Amino acid sequence: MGRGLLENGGEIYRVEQAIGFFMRAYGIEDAQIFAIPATIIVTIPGDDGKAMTQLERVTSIAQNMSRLHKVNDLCRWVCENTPDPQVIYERLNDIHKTKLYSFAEVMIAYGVASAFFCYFWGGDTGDAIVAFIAGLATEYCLKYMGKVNANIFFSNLVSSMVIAVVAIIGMVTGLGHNLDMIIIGAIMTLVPGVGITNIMRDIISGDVITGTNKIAEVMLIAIAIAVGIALPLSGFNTLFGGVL
Amino acid sequence: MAVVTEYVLPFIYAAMACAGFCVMYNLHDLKIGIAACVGGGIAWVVYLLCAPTGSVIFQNLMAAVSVAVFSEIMARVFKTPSTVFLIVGILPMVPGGGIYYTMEYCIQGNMPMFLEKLVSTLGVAGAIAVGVSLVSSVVRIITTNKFKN
Repeated sequence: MGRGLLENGGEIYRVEQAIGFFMRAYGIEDAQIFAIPATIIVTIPGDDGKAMTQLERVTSIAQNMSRLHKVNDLCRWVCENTPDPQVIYERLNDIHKTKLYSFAEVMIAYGVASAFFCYFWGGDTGDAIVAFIAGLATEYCLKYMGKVNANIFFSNLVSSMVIAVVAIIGMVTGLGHNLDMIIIGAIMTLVPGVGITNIMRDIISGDVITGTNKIAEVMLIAIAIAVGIALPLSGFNTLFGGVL
Repeated sequence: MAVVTEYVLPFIYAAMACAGFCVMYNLHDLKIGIAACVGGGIAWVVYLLCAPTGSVIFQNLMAAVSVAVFSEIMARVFKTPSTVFLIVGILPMVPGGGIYYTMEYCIQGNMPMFLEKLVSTLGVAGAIAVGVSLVSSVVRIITTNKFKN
């Protein structure tokens, strides 16, 4: 259950609090709970003086708001009604079966987000069209990188290189007019905005280990994006003498 | 007309960009999605309204506070974690431009501008975070004290 919250992008304090409520609902008063983004550890004192510990390893965290919402609802419901564990498992399985958006839909979403961020930062229609294409390419690239199990640094690096290349092609063909607007619009989909806010919330609510852990991750992604954009741009400028 | 180009268009752009992100984060509920997008739009209008103060940090802080308040209200209306609205709502403020210009000055070797952009980007990120945490801390103090009574 806690795993469900964590994997789908819940904050650490929410996970710990939920498991705590959970234990109390089933009559276990002094359970010890510790969670960081990679693991959840729960220890329950047994009747015979021995303690029982379970460790859950969480490997992948992806933002999935519908599931987060549903698991959160389930938590509330369980704490109020204390059903059989079997029932809870069935419900959790149902939640994990809910369908995701298809690849094509997500790709278009990336494109739309990139195009409107491009408008938003002051690009014109030609720029937005190039940004739309760059957005499509980004998602395709991220998907492919996920398939070959590339790490987070490399997949962001390659995706932002793709963005820069698409933007340069757009400029050369004359469709786009502002290189910076296109690139800014398109990298907004990669920039870890979620990370930044969740970090501060974690740190301020006292989960400093989690916070520092995520800061490292966000810094890594930011550097990957910067390097990925910089490589094609400076390469192009050296080859063709700084026309952009 | 000035109102349309200055406030209405940015509102629409910000909200539409947020809509793209809603799909990316697998938000399936249409009503929650629309509310989250409106939150993003409101944030940007607040940002623009605070423009006369002339401080980017202050603009971001106020926008973040308004998103956070909006999310806490919507979280109670829809009975869902406030994170959902918060994450989508702060997107228009995320300093993507800052990161880009920082990188650009870095490869140009323009050190003074590079440092200036770097510091202002970090400042903006900090302002958003502080704005959000201010509201959520206050809300948590209020709700936990309610539980005790």
